Amino acid sequence: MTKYAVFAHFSGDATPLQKEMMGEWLKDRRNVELYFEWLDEWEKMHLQFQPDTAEALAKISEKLQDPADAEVVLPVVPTLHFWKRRGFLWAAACLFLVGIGAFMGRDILTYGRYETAFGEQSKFLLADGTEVVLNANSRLKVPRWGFGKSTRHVYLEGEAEFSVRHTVDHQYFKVHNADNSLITVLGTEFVVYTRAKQTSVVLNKGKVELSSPGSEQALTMSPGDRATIETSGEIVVEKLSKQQLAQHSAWKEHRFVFDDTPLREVAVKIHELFGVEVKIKDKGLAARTATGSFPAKNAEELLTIMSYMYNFEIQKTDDKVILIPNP
Amino acid sequence: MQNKTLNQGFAEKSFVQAEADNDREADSAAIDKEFFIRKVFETDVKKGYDLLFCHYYSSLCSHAVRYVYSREVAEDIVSEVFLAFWKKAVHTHITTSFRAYLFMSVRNKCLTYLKWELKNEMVEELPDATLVSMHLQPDTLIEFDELYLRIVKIVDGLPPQNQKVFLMSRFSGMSYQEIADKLQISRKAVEAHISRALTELRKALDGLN
Repeated sequence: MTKYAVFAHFSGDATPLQKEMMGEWLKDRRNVELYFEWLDEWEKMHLQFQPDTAEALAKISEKLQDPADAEVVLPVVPTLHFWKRRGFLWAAACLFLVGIGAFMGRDILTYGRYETAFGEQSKFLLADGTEVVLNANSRLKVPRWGFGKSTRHVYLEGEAEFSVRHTVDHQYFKVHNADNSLITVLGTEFVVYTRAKQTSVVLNKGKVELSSPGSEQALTMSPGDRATIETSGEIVVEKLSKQQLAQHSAWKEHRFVFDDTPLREVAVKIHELFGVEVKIKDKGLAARTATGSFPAKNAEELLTIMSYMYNFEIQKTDDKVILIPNP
Repeated sequence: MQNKTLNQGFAEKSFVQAEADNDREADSAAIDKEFFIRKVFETDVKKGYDLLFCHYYSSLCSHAVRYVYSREVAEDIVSEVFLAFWKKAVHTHITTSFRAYLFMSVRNKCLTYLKWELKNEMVEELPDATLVSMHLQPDTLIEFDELYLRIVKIVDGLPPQNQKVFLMSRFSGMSYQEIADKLQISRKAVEAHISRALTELRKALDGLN
């Protein structure tokens, strides 16, 4: 079929024989694509009216930004979810859990887990009303059957913000970090970052006590403090400005705030949060520092914005991303 | 009016045919005319989306209006298709060209709309065009072509006054009363014209499932 014949068909001028031919011609999948390409071309040549594309795009973009539509879907908590199923699944789940429980010291039976995958965030309430926002690639372990009578213990690996609910009986809330350090609080707001390399606690409001196996004395933090636990176990405290304080909660709004941060460290951050390995072979580029607030929901968005500002190319391979400086 | 533009198109027959030969060579590369848009999707989804929207919005609206004969409805249908495209992140699992997906989705929605407007039938929408290549079957494609051609013919064949009233109500956003005032006829007459046009249009859908 020639384009001319197909155009004739679109305008209703095809003969029955041509129609027959058209049917045959369309049996080839590639011709179907060609059919739509020509349909688009034909429509553009014979527009029935001229819509305002710019206005329509503005309208639809507004709709896309509607928080009701754009809301991040909270990841389902796998183990807690088990209990919501019914019937034989219930029985199967019980058997399975008991089996595993016996095997793993009943850890799974006694603790519920909240987990976020790379690039995901999750916000939830604990049994006592404490609010937790869990950043990407993080795990929080809480007693499955509610907190005990004396203390509330949770175990964190990753990054999270806690708004701890003060109880009537002044029950302590304790966060056990990845490096075995411990945060003890009554009722307050703070952000904890605890991964393989480092643990740090930023206090927004109230009072917390931080203890680590490597330091003899527990440290009492006041609002605006950031405490970092060194690999030696020693605790270092510094006072943060209001601006710096806000930076530590920026991740909740899917923003990344950097302050003279070398791209090398940015790469580490991306790996932690999104699971994407970022390689920078060029030493000059790795040492280049980034400053500013970057809105991004995934590694790609973040890197794209930064590539414009810091003048580098992004090269993707199967399992990693390589940054190359532009000449 | 439409036929006039069509004829102009045919006047360029030799030019079009020469081009067609080139295109036949590029046959297998047909999808790759969207190569650039796909590339942008890879680096920036929103940018790719905007580009896609600007590229196809007007031709999709023009196509939709052949079925639904209302500018507003046509634009709504096309916007809905784009909204669904975004929500379902269609670019991540599409197996056809964007163009084929968009045109197919618009056609499906137009058909659903027509059945609802003319037959008062609430039909389930056809499944997503990305999932079923079945809907790209030759018969289905040609049936859709014939449907809009039938509709155009019916509107074209309406008595002049009848057609005028119908188009005024569909395209200028005028109320029945406003049309009645402008044409100096009664409101009842306007209603009669519209209902007659709709009765005729209903025939276009006869024989369709």
